[in-house]
Amino acid sequence: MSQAVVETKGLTKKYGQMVALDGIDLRIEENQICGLLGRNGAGKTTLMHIITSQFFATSGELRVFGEKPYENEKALRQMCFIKESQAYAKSFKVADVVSLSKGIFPNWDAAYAERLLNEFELPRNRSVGKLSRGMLSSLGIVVGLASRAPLTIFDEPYLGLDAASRTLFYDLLLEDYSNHPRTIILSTHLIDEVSRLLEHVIIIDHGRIILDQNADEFRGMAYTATGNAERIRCFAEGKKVLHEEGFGSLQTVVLWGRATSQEKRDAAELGLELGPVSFQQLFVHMTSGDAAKASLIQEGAIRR
Amino acid sequence: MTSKSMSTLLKMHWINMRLSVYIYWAIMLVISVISFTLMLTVGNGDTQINMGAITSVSIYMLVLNLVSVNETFRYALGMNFRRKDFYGSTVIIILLLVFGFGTLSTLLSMIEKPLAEALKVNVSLFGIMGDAELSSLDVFLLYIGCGLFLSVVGLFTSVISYRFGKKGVLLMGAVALLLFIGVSVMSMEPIARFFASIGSVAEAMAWLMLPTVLLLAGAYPLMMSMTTKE
Repeated sequence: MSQAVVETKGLTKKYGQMVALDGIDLRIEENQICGLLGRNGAGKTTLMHIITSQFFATSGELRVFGEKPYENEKALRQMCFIKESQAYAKSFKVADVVSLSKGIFPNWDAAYAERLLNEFELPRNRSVGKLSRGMLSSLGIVVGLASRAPLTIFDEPYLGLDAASRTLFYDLLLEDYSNHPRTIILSTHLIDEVSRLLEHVIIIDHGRIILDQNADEFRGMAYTATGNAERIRCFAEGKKVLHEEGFGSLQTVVLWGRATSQEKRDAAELGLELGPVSFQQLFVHMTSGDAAKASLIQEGAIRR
Repeated sequence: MTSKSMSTLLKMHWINMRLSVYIYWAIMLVISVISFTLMLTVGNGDTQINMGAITSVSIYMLVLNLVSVNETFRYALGMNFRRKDFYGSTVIIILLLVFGFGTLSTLLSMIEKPLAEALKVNVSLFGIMGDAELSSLDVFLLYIGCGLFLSVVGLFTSVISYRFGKKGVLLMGAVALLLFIGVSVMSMEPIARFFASIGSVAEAMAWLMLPTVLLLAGAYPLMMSMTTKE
């Protein structure tokens, strides 16, 4: 087992009566891109703030690089947390943010930062207060990537970015990660967009971790079958159906588990098309509170 | 605290405040030039201009520290600086700024005196009103003392505001007011005697350091428990 970059035991955060994190047990290992997924208010941002010591847990244990992060220079210097609401003083210019980052992150790559500024076409002399939402997000991405921090956390880093810039971010992230492996936690609502990047998936729902799994295993947790409604009904009999939708005589069902060779043969005989379920679809079924979620809990696929 | 963290935090503070420092001194320079020109052209022996730069320096320090914590703390915490490093760097930047402004203002007050005499104008921009009996050291100590006290009042208020919001600031104001009224009503005489017993600027400034240090010490635990704002 590789070294744990983040390890929590019973991590709980309460705001009065409201429980934001409810006894989180988590272990994030080094050198992987980990997707932290969850619906709005699930507790993702709170968890990331606690990991980086910007919030305090009500109870439980937290270790980052084997140490408690609060006021711990050694642990804090190894982290870079870029969030959607990243705060910069309005008087800072883009060049100031980059210049300060050089003094903050021990692994800062100035040449790479320059390249990224060019890639995202960020004007170096413009005040942060005068940047558009998308430009602010790009600046955060520049800092996050060029920091080369052993633990880099991106929380919805691309608010206001267009599809082309988001794709640029994914490509740059993947390229830099291959050249400089490190632990990256990526929290986002654009699940399908990032699914190709993720090596590990953590789903948090109502302050609890309901799934903590390798991304490939996650991908294989369910599959879809599409075809004639009557034949689909026949094929799906006895299988756990997470979701079904149809249009006319055409129907698609999401089935739990991995399709066996026999099932693939049966589907071919029936003229049905089997396909993978998108990350987003699976995520929706796991967190939407519908019958599928209850069924998955019963199945032991996700935690209660 | 590593020296790199400290120098980065000091750089951050300076970047955040440099524009206001430039603007402040530009305004002072313009006022100085206008005052001397005005007195040279239309002034007579009875007319006097006394700007009272000590007031403007002290108010500048108060306002600067009132706004700077809110501006820089979130950034510093977001970039994973330790709270204690942020606190230390804030204290250092206050000291540097107060000593810098104090030294410059005292030097200007020393320059303007002979200049005004040579030009036969009654202008005192950086001197202290009625400072005929005050030495340059006294003027310097006044700048430093008032600057430090109001900077720390600004810092403390800013920390209270960040930590507890508007209600916290109002409560702090109410407590300070009640304390002042209470002490004034109950023991006016000893207070008056105390102030009367202060024999020099240096002694007065030394006494002013007592609430300064108390406020500074009070800000530390509050800052250590401050979290980021969404």
